[in-house]
Amino acid sequence: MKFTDEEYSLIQDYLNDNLTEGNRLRFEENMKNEEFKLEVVTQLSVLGALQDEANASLKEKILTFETEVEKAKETVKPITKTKVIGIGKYLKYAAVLVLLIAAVMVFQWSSNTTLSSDEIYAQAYQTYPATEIKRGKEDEAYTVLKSAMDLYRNGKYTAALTEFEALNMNDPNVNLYIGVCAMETSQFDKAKTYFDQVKESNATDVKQVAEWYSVLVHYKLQETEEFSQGLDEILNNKAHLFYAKAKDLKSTL
Amino acid sequence: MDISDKFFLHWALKTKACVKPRNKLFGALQRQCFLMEMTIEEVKAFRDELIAGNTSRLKTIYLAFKDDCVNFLNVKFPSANQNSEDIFNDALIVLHNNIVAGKVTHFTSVKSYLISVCVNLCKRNNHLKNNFEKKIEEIRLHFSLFSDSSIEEEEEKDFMRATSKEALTSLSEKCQTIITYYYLYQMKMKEIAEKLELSSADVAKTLKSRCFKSLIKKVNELLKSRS
Repeated sequence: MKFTDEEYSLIQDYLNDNLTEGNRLRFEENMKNEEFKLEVVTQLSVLGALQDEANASLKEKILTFETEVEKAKETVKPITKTKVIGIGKYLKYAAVLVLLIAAVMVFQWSSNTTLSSDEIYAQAYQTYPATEIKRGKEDEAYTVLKSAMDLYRNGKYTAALTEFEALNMNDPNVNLYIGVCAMETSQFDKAKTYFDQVKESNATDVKQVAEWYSVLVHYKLQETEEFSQGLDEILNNKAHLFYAKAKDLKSTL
Repeated sequence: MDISDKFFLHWALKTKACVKPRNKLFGALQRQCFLMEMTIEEVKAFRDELIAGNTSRLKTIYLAFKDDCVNFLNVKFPSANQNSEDIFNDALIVLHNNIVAGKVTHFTSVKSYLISVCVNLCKRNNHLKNNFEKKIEEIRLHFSLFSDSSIEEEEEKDFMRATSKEALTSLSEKCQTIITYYYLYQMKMKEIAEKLELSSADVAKTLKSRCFKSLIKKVNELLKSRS
């Protein structure tokens, strides 16, 4: 059956809920016609089916939201695991690297602890302290000695050495200071001579000081045999003033 | 962070909603707030996206409210336990269709809206019926239409769905769009004309009538050939 435009329009208005009161009556009248009724039902069925289809497609899409989340969870987990493994590997490498760096640092540190001969000398050497010289008679010699001691005290070893030597006193104490001034000014041979003179004296304390300084002079002059002999002599005497120092020096070597 | 996450966070921040992380893996996607408001502009933007086939915001809503709605249904309608997820999915379809049809202009709470739809679906025995199905029922009731058994009806519906889909896809792309926009999305002729770049709403109306007649004709041909 071919429907008129008016009938077609009635169906469309019904589908879109746009029927006026008059058109509703006309629509209901037409619905008595089976063919018209069938056409309405067909159109509704087609549109209903299309709407169902659209809803079904949307529902499929909605269901993918959940599967996307599940998939994401599944993919994220292994990634996280891989990352952990990766980090583990890196940690291993990092640990090896840290150990290597530590080893190098320890090596460098230990290298640093292996002191040079100069450093050993510097560690062992200590300037003999300046003492007050008391003499009853304030003569010219006393004045020079006082001046020399002042120079010594002030670290002016070259000038002090000159003044001490000018005294020409052959005194173990003065000779000790001359020897120390010689050491301070790197005149080790001169120092050795003066310390030897002190060692030959009877002044026990000053003698032990000279023995210690002699050991250092031998070390500086690389006189190995004399150095070892002098060091052992001090070490054999626990009561020696420089026993502890000698022991330290031996261990450092 | 994709655009839907930003959208969701914008909501959450705007409404100062209670945001709690659901799952560390999904951060913003799995956050939820108790009150989600959507302004007219936001709903309009949402509608445009849905018409264009972009469902990213719908996905965000799904992820944000699914658990709460399903839990609510399980507590309030214990008998619907097995179908509660289906009901929520149907509620989301209702939300989609109502936004696209322009029936919803703004939300004071999307979550409350979804829960209300879920409750209505539960009360209607979990069945999502479209307007056309309702009209057929109306005709059956008022004009003593045939009464088939439910099994036959279901078979007929599946058959009709396949036939209608085939008929629609046989039409030109413009016809498919205009039928979808007008009958399924319930868009106004003026808007259809704008979207399809037609000169006027009248042109769109004429085109729609021709396309629809072609569709029905094609369906009838297919039905005849298959019967």
